[in-house]
Amino acid sequence: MSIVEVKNAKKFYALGKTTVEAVKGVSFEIEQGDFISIAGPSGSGKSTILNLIGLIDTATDGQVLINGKDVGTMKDREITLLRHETIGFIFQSFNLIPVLTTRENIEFPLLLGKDNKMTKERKEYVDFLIEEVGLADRIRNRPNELSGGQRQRVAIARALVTKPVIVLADEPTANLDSQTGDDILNLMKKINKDLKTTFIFSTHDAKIVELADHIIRLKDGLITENYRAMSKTSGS
Amino acid sequence: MGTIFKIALRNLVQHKVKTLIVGALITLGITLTFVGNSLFESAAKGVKRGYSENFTGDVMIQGQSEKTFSLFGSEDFTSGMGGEPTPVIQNYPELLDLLKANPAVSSFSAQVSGFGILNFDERGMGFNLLFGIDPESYFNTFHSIKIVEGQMLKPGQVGIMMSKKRVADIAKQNKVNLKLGQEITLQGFSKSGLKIRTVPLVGVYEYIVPTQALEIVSFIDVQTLRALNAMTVGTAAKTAIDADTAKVLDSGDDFFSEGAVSAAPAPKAKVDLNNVLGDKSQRAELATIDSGAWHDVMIRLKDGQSPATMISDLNKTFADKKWPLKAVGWKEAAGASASLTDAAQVIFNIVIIILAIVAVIIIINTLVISVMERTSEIGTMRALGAQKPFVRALFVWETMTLAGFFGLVGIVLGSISVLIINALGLSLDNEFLQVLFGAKNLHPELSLVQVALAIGFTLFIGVVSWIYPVSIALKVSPLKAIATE
Repeated sequence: MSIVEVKNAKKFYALGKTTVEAVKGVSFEIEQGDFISIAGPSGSGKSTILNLIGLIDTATDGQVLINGKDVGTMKDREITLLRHETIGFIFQSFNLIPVLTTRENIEFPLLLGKDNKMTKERKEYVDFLIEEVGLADRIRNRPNELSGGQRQRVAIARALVTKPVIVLADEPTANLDSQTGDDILNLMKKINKDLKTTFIFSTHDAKIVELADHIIRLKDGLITENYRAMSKTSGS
Repeated sequence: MGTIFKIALRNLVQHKVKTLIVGALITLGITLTFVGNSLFESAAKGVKRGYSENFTGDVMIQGQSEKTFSLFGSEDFTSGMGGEPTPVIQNYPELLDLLKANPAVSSFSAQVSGFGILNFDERGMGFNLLFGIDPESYFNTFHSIKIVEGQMLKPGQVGIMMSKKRVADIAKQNKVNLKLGQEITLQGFSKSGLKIRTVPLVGVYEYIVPTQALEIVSFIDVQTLRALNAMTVGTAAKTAIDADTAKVLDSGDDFFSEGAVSAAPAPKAKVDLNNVLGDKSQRAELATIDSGAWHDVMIRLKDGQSPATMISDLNKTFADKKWPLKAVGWKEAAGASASLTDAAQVIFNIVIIILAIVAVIIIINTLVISVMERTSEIGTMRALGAQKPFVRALFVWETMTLAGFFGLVGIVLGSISVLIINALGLSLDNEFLQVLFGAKNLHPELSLVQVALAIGFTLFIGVVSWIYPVSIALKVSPLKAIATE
């Protein structure tokens, strides 16, 4: 079942008096449980596509459907709610709340929804995630007391805490050394298998692309390749 | 709510320098406002006590007039010397009966106000406000002075009493050392012309509660002041116009119209000019001092009685009985001199408001910078699913916590300052400040009103300060989570 459908999506930005065509009309579908890489060089439009899927930007033209819902017709409040319930984010620069501890950062998304009570079940799940990302001994530390890898682990746990169907990761290993980057990728892959969470990440790192089971390659705002690791198909 | 408050509080601690700069501004503003207004509040109480206990009473009754009159006479400073005469109280005997029968009245006394020029011949002159009083009822109502030399005026006695300071001022300015029993020449100006009277100095006194505004006032027997004011029987009679005459006078332009002239009644008999000129009764009337004429009646109420209620009740009675009188409070009775403290407080508060605006602009500026620096954090929160009300609440809590905490510090510091000033007493050597604050020493007291005002002011600063920064924070897109890094 497709949880993300992108239909001829375009995104143009005004830059002074000129218009930048970041995405020139792309179409693809993403299945639940995919570990998908959106790959391409800088300026190819991969971050823009990630933003469109992540509902933090809107398409100039075309459609983006999440779980069958066309987000183009939604109001800000509805989009925010859908984003909270459906999508988790892992940012390149971790983007943790500096004044919160590891545990508080992980719990933070739970406090933003309609039901924001910290139930016993939720606490147990937070504990599980902390164990899963290997930060049990760092729960009281603030982000500035953690290494880059530890911060990204916090970000991964935070992205998963609301049990989203999609986790978006924008170049998640870009600010990490290679060993830590490998560890983070293996962790994401493990969670993908264990929890059946769909991971969509943008990267230009060939090593990450190799781990993906669905790859979309971009160039100049257009898809050049869209294939599954076992069966390659042509792009649109 | 707990998480929002936690984030707000930790952000304030995290950005210590900014927090302390903004906090210091708030604390300073609140402390200044608190201490300043406490001083003015106690000054206002002192002025009220000084005025109402010394000479205005709780309620004053005066004749109705379109002009404003206080106990010192006309408050219309453009009229100059000998200008608008203070209206005389009509229906005085009936008014006395009314006041005597009122159970809320403790005591009352009537007074005539005026001024006299002290003439010391070659030693120059001096301006002197005069209160013409009935000594018995006046000093029964106002226990305001103690005699330091000589004696109180006695009922029916002709004479003048002066304050010790006034006597000292005359000695300094005119080089005249006034002695008890010395005849003092007073010149009065009125629309009837110049009047001169000579009265002996019968007593020198000090005010028990120092009241600067009264130092230039001297007490004089009322009949002498009536003479200086030219308050004659004839003057009063002249103002009593019969209805027919009033109708003609009120007719305005028609008074000279053809109809009016033709309608004028023809003389019934020939007028004998010799008879008219020979009749000296009107002239005698004009020269006879009206011994029943008073300008004001000052009333002291019994403890617990409300002056406002009394004023309202009296004015209703006057309206019902069609008496041309009005009852006013102590402040109106005291006139411009009592308004000085109010005016100073208004000016002080205007200055404080200007300072507050400057402080709020600085706070807003600091908070805007804070928002700009945290766009990534706000964007992240939005990306993670924070709705706009969450972001708004975050910054409101932050600002209100900042304003609340440092406002509280300001109130505490202000309270301590007030208590210290109260204990030590703030000595005012400057005469203008003494008039302004109504005392030579200030002992401000802590009051709940000032605490409530300071809390209100703090909340105001908090609310005004967050509106613009929050509006910027709400415009931060989730895209900023990615774009700025």
